[in-house]
Amino acid sequence: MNKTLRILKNVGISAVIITAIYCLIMLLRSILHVNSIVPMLYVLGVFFIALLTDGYFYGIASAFASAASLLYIFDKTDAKITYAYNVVISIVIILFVAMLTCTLTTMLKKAKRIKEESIRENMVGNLMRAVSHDLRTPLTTIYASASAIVDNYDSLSEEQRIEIVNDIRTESQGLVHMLENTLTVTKVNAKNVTLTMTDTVLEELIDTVVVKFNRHYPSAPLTLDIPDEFVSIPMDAMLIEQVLFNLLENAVIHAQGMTELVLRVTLRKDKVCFEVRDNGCGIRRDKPNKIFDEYHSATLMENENISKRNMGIGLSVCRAIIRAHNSNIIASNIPDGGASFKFTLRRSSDE
Amino acid sequence: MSNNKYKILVCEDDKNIQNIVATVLEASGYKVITASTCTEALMLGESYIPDLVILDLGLPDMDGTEYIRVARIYSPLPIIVLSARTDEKDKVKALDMGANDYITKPFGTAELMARVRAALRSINASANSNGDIFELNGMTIDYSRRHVSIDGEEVKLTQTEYNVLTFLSRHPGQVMTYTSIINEIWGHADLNSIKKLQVNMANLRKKLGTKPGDTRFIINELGIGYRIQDPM
Repeated sequence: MNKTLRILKNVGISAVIITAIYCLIMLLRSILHVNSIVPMLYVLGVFFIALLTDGYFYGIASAFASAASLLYIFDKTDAKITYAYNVVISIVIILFVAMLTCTLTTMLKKAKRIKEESIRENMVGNLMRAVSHDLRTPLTTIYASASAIVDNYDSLSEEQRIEIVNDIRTESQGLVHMLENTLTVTKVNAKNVTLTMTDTVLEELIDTVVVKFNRHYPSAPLTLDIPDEFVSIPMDAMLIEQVLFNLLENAVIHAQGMTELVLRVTLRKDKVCFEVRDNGCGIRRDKPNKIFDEYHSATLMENENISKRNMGIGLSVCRAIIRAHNSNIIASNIPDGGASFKFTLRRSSDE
Repeated sequence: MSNNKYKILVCEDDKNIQNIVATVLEASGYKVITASTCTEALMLGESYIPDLVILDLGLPDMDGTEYIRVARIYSPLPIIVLSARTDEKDKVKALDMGANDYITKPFGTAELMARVRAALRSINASANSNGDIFELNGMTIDYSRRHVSIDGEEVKLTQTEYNVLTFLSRHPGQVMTYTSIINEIWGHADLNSIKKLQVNMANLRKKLGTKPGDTRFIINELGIGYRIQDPM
Protein backbone atom coordinates (compact mmCIF):
# COMPACT_ATOMS: atom_id res chain seq x y z
CA MET A 1 0.00 0.00 0.00
CA ASN A 2 2.66 2.46 1.14
CA LYS A 3 5.02 1.14 -1.51
CA THR A 4 2.58 1.53 -4.40
CA LEU A 5 1.85 5.03 -3.17
CA ARG A 6 5.53 5.92 -3.32
CA ILE A 7 5.93 4.43 -6.80
CA LEU A 8 2.91 6.44 -7.97
CA LYS A 9 4.39 9.59 -6.46
CA ASN A 10 7.75 9.01 -8.15
CA VAL A 11 6.17 8.24 -11.52
CA GLY A 12 3.98 11.33 -11.17
CA ILE A 13 6.90 13.61 -10.41
CA SER A 14 8.88 12.23 -13.35
CA ALA A 15 5.98 12.55 -15.77
CA VAL A 16 5.18 16.12 -14.74
CA ILE A 17 8.79 17.28 -15.07
CA ILE A 18 9.35 15.56 -18.43
CA THR A 19 6.14 17.02 -19.83
CA ALA A 20 6.99 20.48 -18.53
CA ILE A 21 10.47 20.36 -20.03
CA TYR A 22 9.15 19.07 -23.36
CA CYS A 23 6.57 21.88 -23.54
CA LEU A 24 9.23 24.44 -22.66
CA ILE A 25 11.50 23.11 -25.39
CA MET A 26 8.73 23.25 -27.97
CA LEU A 27 7.85 26.76 -26.90
CA LEU A 28 11.44 28.05 -27.04
CA ARG A 29 12.07 26.35 -30.35
CA SER A 30 9.02 27.93 -31.92
CA ILE A 31 9.90 31.39 -30.57
CA LEU A 32 13.71 31.48 -30.76
CA HIS A 33 14.31 28.79 -33.43
CA VAL A 34 17.40 27.46 -31.64
CA ASN A 35 18.33 23.85 -31.06
CA SER A 36 21.46 24.31 -28.96
CA ILE A 37 19.42 25.01 -25.84
CA VAL A 38 17.51 21.72 -26.08
CA PRO A 39 20.11 19.38 -24.48
CA MET A 40 20.67 21.89 -21.66
CA LEU A 41 16.99 21.88 -20.80
CA TYR A 42 16.91 18.09 -20.81
CA VAL A 43 19.89 18.03 -18.44
CA LEU A 44 17.98 20.37 -16.14
CA GLY A 45 14.88 18.19 -16.26
CA VAL A 46 16.79 14.99 -15.53
CA PHE A 47 18.61 16.72 -12.70
CA PHE A 48 15.30 17.68 -11.04
CA ILE A 49 13.83 14.22 -11.48
CA ALA A 50 16.90 12.56 -9.97
CA LEU A 51 16.75 15.04 -7.09
CA LEU A 52 13.07 14.60 -6.26
CA THR A 53 12.57 10.85 -6.70
CA ASP A 54 13.83 7.90 -4.64
CA GLY A 55 16.72 5.74 -5.77
CA TYR A 56 18.38 5.45 -9.18
CA PHE A 57 15.64 4.07 -11.36
CA TYR A 58 13.60 7.18 -12.17
CA GLY A 59 16.60 9.40 -12.86
CA ILE A 60 18.20 6.91 -15.24
CA ALA A 61 14.91 6.08 -16.92
CA SER A 62 14.14 9.73 -17.52
CA ALA A 63 17.66 10.20 -18.87
CA PHE A 64 16.97 7.53 -21.47
CA ALA A 65 13.60 9.05 -22.25
CA SER A 66 15.23 12.45 -22.72
CA ALA A 67 17.89 10.94 -24.94
CA ALA A 68 15.24 9.25 -27.06
CA SER A 69 13.23 12.41 -27.48
CA LEU A 70 16.44 14.34 -28.22
CA LEU A 71 17.11 11.92 -31.05
CA TYR A 72 13.54 12.34 -32.22
CA ILE A 73 13.69 16.14 -32.22
CA PHE A 74 17.01 16.27 -34.07
CA ASP A 75 15.88 13.63 -36.49
CA LYS A 76 12.97 15.78 -37.54
CA THR A 77 15.03 18.94 -37.98
CA ASP A 78 17.13 17.97 -40.97
CA ALA A 79 20.23 17.69 -38.86
CA LYS A 80 23.68 18.05 -40.28
CA ILE A 81 26.46 15.69 -39.38
CA THR A 82 27.90 18.05 -36.73
CA TYR A 83 24.58 17.92 -34.95
CA ALA A 84 24.85 14.17 -34.70
CA TYR A 85 28.03 14.50 -32.64
CA ASN A 86 26.33 17.12 -30.51
CA VAL A 87 23.46 14.78 -29.85
CA VAL A 88 25.65 11.86 -28.85
CA ILE A 89 27.68 14.02 -26.48
CA SER A 90 24.49 15.52 -24.98
CA ILE A 91 23.06 12.07 -24.35
CA VAL A 92 26.21 10.92 -22.61
CA ILE A 93 26.19 14.08 -20.45
CA ILE A 94 22.52 13.64 -19.57
CA LEU A 95 23.17 10.06 -18.45
CA PHE A 96 26.11 11.13 -16.33
CA VAL A 97 24.16 13.93 -14.70
CA ALA A 98 21.33 11.56 -13.89
CA MET A 99 23.65 9.00 -12.35
CA LEU A 100 25.66 11.46 -10.30
CA THR A 101 22.60 13.26 -8.98
CA CYS A 102 21.00 9.99 -7.99
CA THR A 103 24.15 8.94 -6.14
CA LEU A 104 24.32 12.26 -4.33
CA THR A 105 20.66 12.37 -3.27
CA THR A 106 20.78 8.75 -2.12
CA MET A 107 23.83 9.55 -0.02
CA LEU A 108 22.14 12.63 1.40
CA LYS A 109 19.04 10.69 2.38
CA LYS A 110 21.17 8.05 4.05
CA ALA A 111 23.05 10.68 6.03
CA LYS A 112 19.79 12.28 7.13
CA ARG A 113 18.46 8.95 8.34
CA ILE A 114 21.64 8.25 10.28
CA LYS A 115 21.43 11.68 11.90
CA GLU A 116 17.81 11.14 12.94
CA GLU A 117 18.72 7.81 14.44
CA SER A 118 21.56 9.28 16.43
CA ILE A 119 19.29 12.07 17.74
CA ARG A 120 16.82 9.44 18.89
CA GLU A 121 19.55 7.37 20.49
CA ASN A 122 20.89 10.46 22.17
CA MET A 123 17.48 11.24 23.57
CA VAL A 124 17.01 7.71 24.87
CA GLY A 125 20.49 7.92 26.41
CA ASN A 126 19.64 11.18 28.18
CA LEU A 127 16.42 9.70 29.39
CA MET A 128 18.14 6.59 30.75
CA ARG A 129 20.62 8.78 32.63
CA ALA A 130 17.85 10.91 34.08
CA VAL A 131 15.76 7.92 35.04
CA SER A 132 18.59 6.02 36.68
CA HIS A 133 19.43 9.13 38.64
CA ASP A 134 15.83 9.68 39.69
CA LEU A 135 15.37 6.04 40.61
CA ARG A 136 18.08 6.08 43.21
CA THR A 137 16.36 8.27 45.80
CA PRO A 138 13.06 6.41 46.10
CA LEU A 139 14.82 3.05 45.91
CA THR A 140 17.14 4.08 48.73
CA THR A 141 14.16 5.02 50.86
CA ILE A 142 12.34 1.79 50.09
CA TYR A 143 15.36 -0.39 50.70
CA ALA A 144 16.32 1.40 53.92
CA SER A 145 12.74 1.38 55.22
CA ALA A 146 12.24 -2.30 54.52
CA SER A 147 15.58 -3.18 56.13
CA ALA A 148 14.73 -1.03 59.13
CA ILE A 149 11.58 -3.02 59.73
CA VAL A 150 13.13 -6.45 59.17
CA ASP A 151 16.23 -5.73 61.26
CA ASN A 152 14.64 -3.79 64.11
CA TYR A 153 11.15 -5.18 64.18
CA ASP A 154 10.95 -5.55 67.96
CA SER A 155 12.56 -2.26 68.88
CA LEU A 156 10.19 -0.23 66.68
CA SER A 157 6.83 0.84 68.01
CA GLU A 158 3.65 -0.02 66.13
CA GLU A 159 3.26 3.59 64.95
CA GLN A 160 6.87 3.77 63.77
CA ARG A 161 6.44 0.62 61.75
CA ILE A 162 3.30 1.92 60.10
CA GLU A 163 5.01 5.21 59.36
CA ILE A 164 7.94 3.46 57.70
CA VAL A 165 5.70 1.18 55.68
CA ASN A 166 3.72 4.22 54.55
CA ASP A 167 6.94 5.79 53.27
CA ILE A 168 7.52 2.65 51.25
CA ARG A 169 4.06 2.95 49.79
CA THR A 170 4.44 6.62 48.85
CA GLU A 171 7.84 6.09 47.27
CA SER A 172 6.65 3.11 45.26
CA GLN A 173 3.77 5.15 43.88
CA GLY A 174 6.30 7.74 42.76
CA LEU A 175 8.27 4.99 41.04
CA VAL A 176 5.18 3.75 39.23
CA HIS A 177 4.55 7.22 37.91
CA MET A 178 8.12 7.56 36.73
CA LEU A 179 7.92 4.19 35.02
CA GLU A 180 4.79 5.25 33.16
CA ASN A 181 6.56 8.32 31.83
CA THR A 182 9.61 6.32 30.82
CA LEU A 183 7.54 3.72 29.00
CA THR A 184 5.70 6.45 27.16
CA VAL A 185 8.90 8.13 26.00
CA THR A 186 10.25 4.89 24.62
CA LYS A 187 6.90 4.19 22.95
CA VAL A 188 6.53 7.64 21.41
CA ASN A 189 10.15 7.81 20.29
CA ALA A 190 10.14 4.37 18.75
CA LYS A 191 10.80 4.24 15.01
CA ASN A 192 7.22 3.48 14.10
CA VAL A 193 5.09 5.37 16.56
CA THR A 194 1.80 3.57 16.96
CA LEU A 195 -0.73 5.92 18.46
CA THR A 196 -4.08 4.40 19.27
CA MET A 197 -6.24 7.18 17.91
CA THR A 198 -9.81 7.04 19.14
CA ASP A 199 -12.56 9.63 19.22
CA THR A 200 -12.49 10.74 22.82
CA VAL A 201 -15.14 12.78 24.59
CA LEU A 202 -13.50 15.89 26.01
CA GLU A 203 -15.51 15.80 29.21
CA GLU A 204 -14.59 12.18 29.89
CA LEU A 205 -10.92 12.91 29.27
CA ILE A 206 -10.93 15.87 31.66
CA ASP A 207 -12.88 13.85 34.22
CA THR A 208 -10.33 11.04 34.13
CA VAL A 209 -7.44 13.48 34.52
CA VAL A 210 -9.09 15.38 37.37
CA VAL A 211 -10.06 12.22 39.28
CA LYS A 212 -6.49 10.96 39.08
CA PHE A 213 -5.06 14.38 39.95
CA ASN A 214 -7.36 14.85 42.94
CA ARG A 215 -6.32 11.45 44.24
CA HIS A 216 -2.63 12.41 44.16
CA TYR A 217 -2.95 16.10 45.12
CA PRO A 218 -6.26 16.58 46.94
CA SER A 219 -5.36 20.04 48.22
CA ALA A 220 -4.24 21.57 44.90
CA PRO A 221 -6.22 24.73 43.99
CA LEU A 222 -7.45 23.39 40.66
CA THR A 223 -10.25 25.09 38.75
CA LEU A 224 -11.68 23.94 35.44
CA ASP A 225 -12.78 26.08 32.54
CA ILE A 226 -14.12 23.77 29.87
CA PRO A 227 -16.82 24.15 27.24
CA ASP A 228 -20.30 22.83 27.97
CA GLU A 229 -20.97 21.26 24.61
CA PHE A 230 -20.30 17.69 23.54
CA VAL A 231 -16.90 17.57 21.85
CA SER A 232 -15.23 14.48 20.46
CA ILE A 233 -11.54 14.69 19.60
CA PRO A 234 -9.44 12.04 17.87
CA MET A 235 -6.41 11.32 20.06
CA ASP A 236 -4.48 8.66 21.90
CA ALA A 237 -6.47 9.18 25.08
CA MET A 238 -4.03 7.41 27.42
CA LEU A 239 -1.21 9.64 26.25
CA ILE A 240 -3.10 12.95 26.27
CA GLU A 241 -4.35 12.08 29.74
CA GLN A 242 -0.72 11.69 30.74
CA VAL A 243 0.19 15.06 29.20
CA LEU A 244 -2.50 16.89 31.15
CA PHE A 245 -1.63 15.07 34.37
CA ASN A 246 2.08 15.83 33.96
CA LEU A 247 1.38 19.51 33.31
CA LEU A 248 -0.82 19.81 36.39
CA GLU A 249 1.67 17.90 38.51
CA ASN A 250 4.49 20.05 37.19
CA ALA A 251 2.66 23.14 38.43
CA VAL A 252 2.08 21.60 41.87
CA ILE A 253 5.73 20.66 42.27
CA HIS A 254 7.44 23.66 40.69
CA ALA A 255 5.17 26.70 40.73
CA GLN A 256 6.25 28.18 44.04
CA GLY A 257 3.66 30.39 45.68
CA MET A 258 0.86 29.14 43.45
CA THR A 259 -2.64 29.90 44.71
CA GLU A 260 -4.50 29.20 41.51
CA LEU A 261 -4.17 26.43 38.95
CA VAL A 262 -6.41 26.51 35.90
CA LEU A 263 -7.08 23.82 33.32
CA ARG A 264 -8.76 25.57 30.43
CA VAL A 265 -10.05 24.15 27.18
CA THR A 266 -11.26 26.45 24.42
CA LEU A 267 -12.84 25.48 21.12
CA ARG A 268 -11.77 27.02 17.87
CA LYS A 269 -13.20 26.36 14.46
CA ASP A 270 -11.28 23.17 13.73
CA LYS A 271 -9.05 22.91 16.76
CA VAL A 272 -9.23 22.45 20.50
CA CYS A 273 -6.82 24.45 22.61
CA PHE A 274 -5.70 23.04 25.99
CA GLU A 275 -4.03 25.28 28.53
CA VAL A 276 -2.63 24.66 32.01
CA ARG A 277 -1.75 27.90 33.79
CA ASP A 278 -0.70 28.80 37.29
CA ASN A 279 0.09 32.00 39.13
CA GLY A 280 3.30 30.71 40.71
CA CYS A 281 6.89 31.75 40.23
CA GLY A 282 7.00 31.22 36.47
CA ILE A 283 9.80 29.78 34.39
CA ARG A 284 13.10 31.48 34.98
CA ARG A 285 14.51 31.35 31.50
CA ASP A 286 14.94 33.72 28.59
CA LYS A 287 13.33 31.10 26.40
CA PRO A 288 10.69 29.27 28.41
CA ASN A 289 10.39 26.58 25.73
CA LYS A 290 13.87 25.36 26.63
CA ILE A 291 12.24 23.82 29.68
CA PHE A 292 11.15 20.86 27.57
CA ASP A 293 14.76 20.01 26.74
CA GLU A 294 15.97 19.73 30.28
CA TYR A 295 15.65 16.55 32.21
CA HIS A 296 16.43 18.30 35.45
CA SER A 297 14.41 21.40 35.04
CA ALA A 298 14.23 21.94 38.81
CA THR A 299 17.43 23.90 38.53
CA LEU A 300 15.69 26.34 36.22
CA MET A 301 13.02 27.35 38.63
CA GLU A 302 13.13 30.15 41.14
CA ASN A 303 13.41 27.82 44.04
CA GLU A 304 16.46 25.60 44.02
CA ASN A 305 16.02 23.58 47.15
CA ILE A 306 12.90 21.69 46.20
CA SER A 307 12.88 17.99 45.59
CA LYS A 308 14.61 17.21 42.35
CA ARG A 309 12.77 14.02 41.81
CA ASN A 310 10.83 13.10 38.71
CA MET A 311 12.06 16.27 37.11
CA GLY A 312 11.71 17.29 33.56
CA ILE A 313 11.09 13.78 32.28
CA GLY A 314 7.43 14.67 32.65
CA LEU A 315 7.68 17.74 30.45
CA SER A 316 9.77 16.11 27.76
CA VAL A 317 7.23 13.29 27.71
CA CYS A 318 4.51 15.89 27.12
CA ARG A 319 6.35 17.32 24.16
CA ALA A 320 7.08 13.91 22.67
CA ILE A 321 3.41 12.96 22.92
CA ILE A 322 2.10 16.20 21.45
CA ARG A 323 4.61 16.00 18.59
CA ALA A 324 3.47 12.47 17.86
CA HIS A 325 0.01 14.02 17.46
CA ASN A 326 1.48 16.38 14.83
CA SER A 327 1.10 19.40 17.05
CA ASN A 328 3.27 21.47 19.32
CA ILE A 329 3.38 22.42 22.98
CA ILE A 330 4.35 25.92 24.04
CA ALA A 331 5.54 27.14 27.42
CA SER A 332 5.38 30.82 28.31
CA ASN A 333 5.42 33.17 31.27
CA ILE A 334 2.32 35.17 32.10
CA PRO A 335 3.00 38.91 32.52
CA ASP A 336 1.22 39.03 35.90
CA GLY A 337 3.32 36.09 37.14
CA GLY A 338 3.00 32.38 36.63
CA ALA A 339 3.53 29.94 33.80
CA SER A 340 1.31 28.74 30.99
CA PHE A 341 1.54 25.56 28.94
CA LYS A 342 -0.54 25.32 25.78
CA PHE A 343 -1.16 22.80 23.04
CA THR A 344 -3.82 22.24 20.40
CA LEU A 345 -5.39 19.17 18.87
CA ARG A 346 -7.47 18.82 15.72
CA ARG A 347 -11.19 18.29 16.15
CA SER A 348 -12.97 15.35 14.54
CA SER A 349 -13.63 15.86 10.88
CA ASP A 350 -17.31 15.02 11.37
CA GLU A 351 -17.88 17.76 13.94
CA MET B 1 -23.54 -16.08 53.10
CA SER B 2 -20.21 -16.09 54.86
CA ASN B 3 -17.02 -15.13 53.07
CA ASN B 4 -15.41 -18.39 54.15
CA LYS B 5 -17.32 -20.29 51.58
CA TYR B 6 -15.78 -18.47 48.63
CA LYS B 7 -12.88 -20.14 46.84
CA ILE B 8 -10.65 -17.91 44.76
CA LEU B 9 -8.21 -19.19 42.16
CA VAL B 10 -5.21 -16.89 41.73
CA CYS B 11 -3.36 -17.47 38.48
CA GLU B 12 -0.17 -15.44 38.36
CA ASP B 13 3.33 -16.53 37.37
CA ASP B 14 5.22 -14.05 39.54
CA LYS B 15 5.63 -15.70 42.93
CA ASN B 16 5.83 -12.44 44.90
CA ILE B 17 2.60 -11.08 43.46
CA GLN B 18 0.96 -14.47 43.87
CA ASN B 19 2.00 -14.55 47.53
CA ILE B 20 0.81 -11.08 48.43
CA VAL B 21 -2.52 -11.50 46.65
CA ALA B 22 -3.05 -14.86 48.37
CA THR B 23 -2.10 -13.42 51.75
CA VAL B 24 -4.46 -10.47 51.44
CA LEU B 25 -7.34 -12.67 50.29
CA GLU B 26 -6.76 -15.21 53.05
CA ALA B 27 -6.63 -12.41 55.60
CA SER B 28 -10.11 -11.42 54.44
CA GLY B 29 -11.37 -14.95 54.97
CA TYR B 30 -11.37 -16.34 51.45
CA LYS B 31 -9.99 -19.74 50.54
CA VAL B 32 -7.19 -19.35 47.99
CA ILE B 33 -5.86 -21.76 45.38
CA THR B 34 -2.80 -20.66 43.41
CA ALA B 35 -1.60 -21.53 39.92
CA SER B 36 1.38 -20.33 37.91
CA THR B 37 0.38 -21.37 34.42
CA CYS B 38 -2.77 -21.49 32.36
CA THR B 39 -2.69 -25.27 32.14
CA GLU B 40 -2.38 -25.56 35.89
CA ALA B 41 -5.20 -23.05 36.38
CA LEU B 42 -7.52 -24.96 34.04
CA MET B 43 -6.74 -28.22 35.84
CA LEU B 44 -7.24 -26.75 39.31
CA GLY B 45 -10.33 -24.97 38.08
CA GLU B 46 -11.90 -28.29 37.13
CA SER B 47 -11.14 -30.04 40.41
CA TYR B 48 -11.79 -27.21 42.89
CA ILE B 49 -14.60 -25.28 41.12
CA PRO B 50 -13.61 -21.82 42.36
CA ASP B 51 -16.12 -18.99 42.80
CA LEU B 52 -13.81 -16.41 41.31
CA VAL B 53 -10.62 -16.35 39.25
CA ILE B 54 -7.96 -13.65 39.44
CA LEU B 55 -5.99 -14.00 36.24
CA ASP B 56 -2.73 -12.48 35.06
CA LEU B 57 -2.75 -11.87 31.31
CA GLY B 58 0.94 -12.48 30.70
CA LEU B 59 1.33 -16.13 31.59
CA PRO B 60 4.27 -18.25 30.41
CA ASP B 61 2.42 -21.05 28.62
CA MET B 62 -0.65 -19.43 27.06
CA ASP B 63 -2.15 -16.04 26.58
CA GLY B 64 -4.45 -15.23 29.50
CA THR B 65 -7.28 -14.50 27.08
CA GLU B 66 -7.03 -18.10 25.91
CA TYR B 67 -7.83 -19.17 29.47
CA ILE B 68 -10.90 -16.92 29.47
CA ARG B 69 -12.10 -18.46 26.22
CA VAL B 70 -11.75 -22.01 27.54
CA ALA B 71 -13.13 -21.22 31.00
CA ARG B 72 -16.16 -19.44 29.52
CA ILE B 73 -17.19 -22.62 27.72
CA TYR B 74 -17.79 -24.37 31.06
CA SER B 75 -19.13 -21.73 33.36
CA PRO B 76 -20.06 -18.12 33.96
CA LEU B 77 -17.64 -17.86 36.88
CA PRO B 78 -16.37 -14.31 37.44
CA ILE B 79 -12.88 -13.52 36.20
CA ILE B 80 -10.83 -10.50 37.27
CA VAL B 81 -7.93 -9.76 34.99
CA LEU B 82 -4.61 -8.41 36.25
CA SER B 83 -2.96 -6.34 33.60
CA ALA B 84 0.08 -4.13 33.15
CA ARG B 85 -0.49 -0.69 31.75
CA THR B 86 1.28 -1.65 28.54
CA ASP B 87 -1.20 -4.27 27.42
CA GLU B 88 -4.10 -1.86 27.05
CA LYS B 89 -5.47 -3.72 24.04
CA ASP B 90 -5.32 -7.11 25.74
CA LYS B 91 -7.33 -5.66 28.60
CA VAL B 92 -10.20 -4.61 26.36
CA LYS B 93 -9.95 -7.91 24.49
CA ALA B 94 -10.11 -9.84 27.78
CA LEU B 95 -13.16 -7.85 28.92
CA ASP B 96 -14.91 -8.34 25.60
CA MET B 97 -14.17 -12.07 25.75
CA GLY B 98 -16.00 -12.31 29.05
CA ALA B 99 -13.71 -11.22 31.86
CA ASN B 100 -15.82 -9.40 34.44
CA ASP B 101 -13.38 -6.76 35.52
CA TYR B 102 -9.76 -5.73 35.44
CA ILE B 103 -7.24 -4.22 37.77
CA THR B 104 -4.08 -2.50 36.62
CA LYS B 105 -0.70 -3.43 38.05
CA PRO B 106 0.50 -2.12 40.41
CA PHE B 107 -2.62 -2.10 42.53
CA GLY B 108 -3.44 -1.38 46.14
CA THR B 109 -5.02 -4.08 48.24
CA ALA B 110 -8.08 -1.92 48.96
CA GLU B 111 -8.73 -1.68 45.23
CA LEU B 112 -8.23 -5.41 44.77
CA MET B 113 -10.65 -6.26 47.59
CA ALA B 114 -13.28 -3.86 46.22
CA ARG B 115 -13.11 -5.60 42.84
CA VAL B 116 -13.30 -9.03 44.43
CA ARG B 117 -16.35 -8.08 46.51
CA ALA B 118 -18.10 -6.53 43.50
CA ALA B 119 -17.43 -9.59 41.35
CA LEU B 120 -18.62 -12.01 44.04
CA ARG B 121 -21.73 -9.93 44.63
CA SER B 122 -22.58 -10.23 40.93
CA ILE B 123 -23.01 -14.01 41.36
CA ASN B 124 -25.56 -13.46 44.10
CA ALA B 125 -27.22 -10.64 42.22
CA SER B 126 -27.94 -12.86 39.23
CA ALA B 127 -29.05 -15.67 41.56
CA ASN B 128 -31.74 -13.75 43.41
CA SER B 129 -32.30 -10.84 40.97
CA ASN B 130 -31.62 -8.17 43.56
CA GLY B 131 -34.05 -5.74 45.15
CA ASP B 132 -36.32 -3.16 43.63
CA ILE B 133 -34.34 -0.18 44.78
CA PHE B 134 -30.76 0.90 44.13
CA GLU B 135 -29.31 3.59 46.37
CA LEU B 136 -26.01 5.38 45.93
CA ASN B 137 -24.80 8.66 47.42
CA GLY B 138 -28.25 10.22 47.46
CA MET B 139 -29.33 8.78 44.10
CA THR B 140 -32.24 6.34 44.17
CA ILE B 141 -33.32 4.10 41.31
CA ASP B 142 -36.73 2.53 41.79
CA TYR B 143 -36.75 -0.29 39.25
CA SER B 144 -40.44 -1.16 39.62
CA ARG B 145 -41.60 2.41 39.01
CA ARG B 146 -38.77 3.19 36.55
CA HIS B 147 -38.10 6.26 38.65
CA VAL B 148 -34.76 7.96 39.37
CA SER B 149 -34.25 10.66 41.97
CA ILE B 150 -31.40 12.50 43.61
CA ASP B 151 -31.92 13.69 47.19
CA GLY B 152 -35.65 13.20 46.70
CA GLU B 153 -35.81 15.28 43.50
CA GLU B 154 -36.96 13.39 40.45
CA VAL B 155 -34.52 13.16 37.54
CA LYS B 156 -36.26 12.92 34.18
CA LEU B 157 -34.38 10.50 31.94
CA THR B 158 -35.06 9.30 28.44
CA GLN B 159 -35.70 5.61 27.85
CA THR B 160 -32.12 5.00 26.69
CA GLU B 161 -30.53 6.98 29.51
CA TYR B 162 -32.61 5.06 32.03
CA ASN B 163 -31.67 1.74 30.44
CA VAL B 164 -27.95 2.54 30.50
CA LEU B 165 -28.10 3.71 34.10
CA THR B 166 -29.98 0.63 35.30
CA PHE B 167 -27.68 -1.67 33.35
CA LEU B 168 -24.69 -0.13 35.13
CA SER B 169 -26.46 -0.23 38.49
CA ARG B 170 -27.16 -3.95 38.11
CA HIS B 171 -23.38 -4.44 38.10
CA PRO B 172 -22.20 -2.04 40.81
CA GLY B 173 -18.46 -1.57 41.06
CA GLN B 174 -17.81 -3.49 37.86
CA VAL B 175 -16.57 -2.01 34.62
CA MET B 176 -18.99 -2.40 31.71
CA THR B 177 -17.31 -2.13 28.33
CA TYR B 178 -18.74 -0.01 25.51
CA THR B 179 -19.46 -3.22 23.61
CA SER B 180 -21.35 -4.86 26.46
CA ILE B 181 -23.49 -1.75 27.09
CA ILE B 182 -24.25 -1.32 23.39
CA ASN B 183 -25.24 -4.97 23.05
CA GLU B 184 -27.49 -4.69 26.09
CA ILE B 185 -29.18 -1.42 25.10
CA TRP B 186 -29.44 -1.59 21.31
CA GLY B 187 -28.96 -5.31 20.79
CA HIS B 188 -26.47 -4.80 18.00
CA ALA B 189 -23.56 -2.52 17.23
CA ASP B 190 -23.08 -0.25 14.23
CA LEU B 191 -20.50 2.35 13.29
CA ASN B 192 -22.04 5.11 15.36
CA SER B 193 -22.87 3.03 18.42
CA ILE B 194 -20.04 4.26 20.61
CA LYS B 195 -20.72 7.88 19.70
CA LYS B 196 -24.41 7.36 20.41
CA LEU B 197 -23.56 5.86 23.79
CA GLN B 198 -21.13 8.67 24.60
CA VAL B 199 -23.74 11.30 23.78
CA ASN B 200 -26.26 9.53 26.01
CA MET B 201 -23.70 9.34 28.80
CA ALA B 202 -22.95 13.07 28.44
CA ASN B 203 -26.65 13.84 28.81
CA LEU B 204 -26.94 11.44 31.72
CA ARG B 205 -24.03 13.11 33.50
CA LYS B 206 -25.63 16.50 32.94
CA LYS B 207 -28.96 15.33 34.36
CA LEU B 208 -27.27 13.71 37.35
CA GLY B 209 -25.45 16.99 37.89
CA THR B 210 -21.92 15.56 37.79
CA LYS B 211 -18.99 17.73 36.84
CA PRO B 212 -15.55 16.44 35.75
CA GLY B 213 -13.71 15.05 38.77
CA ASP B 214 -16.93 14.05 40.51
CA THR B 215 -16.93 10.34 41.34
CA ARG B 216 -20.20 10.12 43.27
CA PHE B 217 -22.07 8.13 40.63
CA ILE B 218 -20.45 7.00 37.39
CA ILE B 219 -16.73 6.57 36.78
CA ASN B 220 -15.28 6.91 33.29
CA GLU B 221 -12.88 4.21 32.23
CA LEU B 222 -11.39 6.05 29.29
CA GLY B 223 -11.30 3.92 26.16
CA ILE B 224 -12.88 0.95 27.96
CA GLY B 225 -16.30 1.75 29.33
CA TYR B 226 -18.13 2.92 32.44
CA ARG B 227 -18.41 1.80 36.02
CA ILE B 228 -21.01 2.81 38.55
CA GLN B 229 -19.80 3.33 42.11
CA ASP B 230 -20.36 0.41 44.43
CA PRO B 231 -22.80 1.39 47.22
CA MET B 232 -21.40 -1.55 49.32
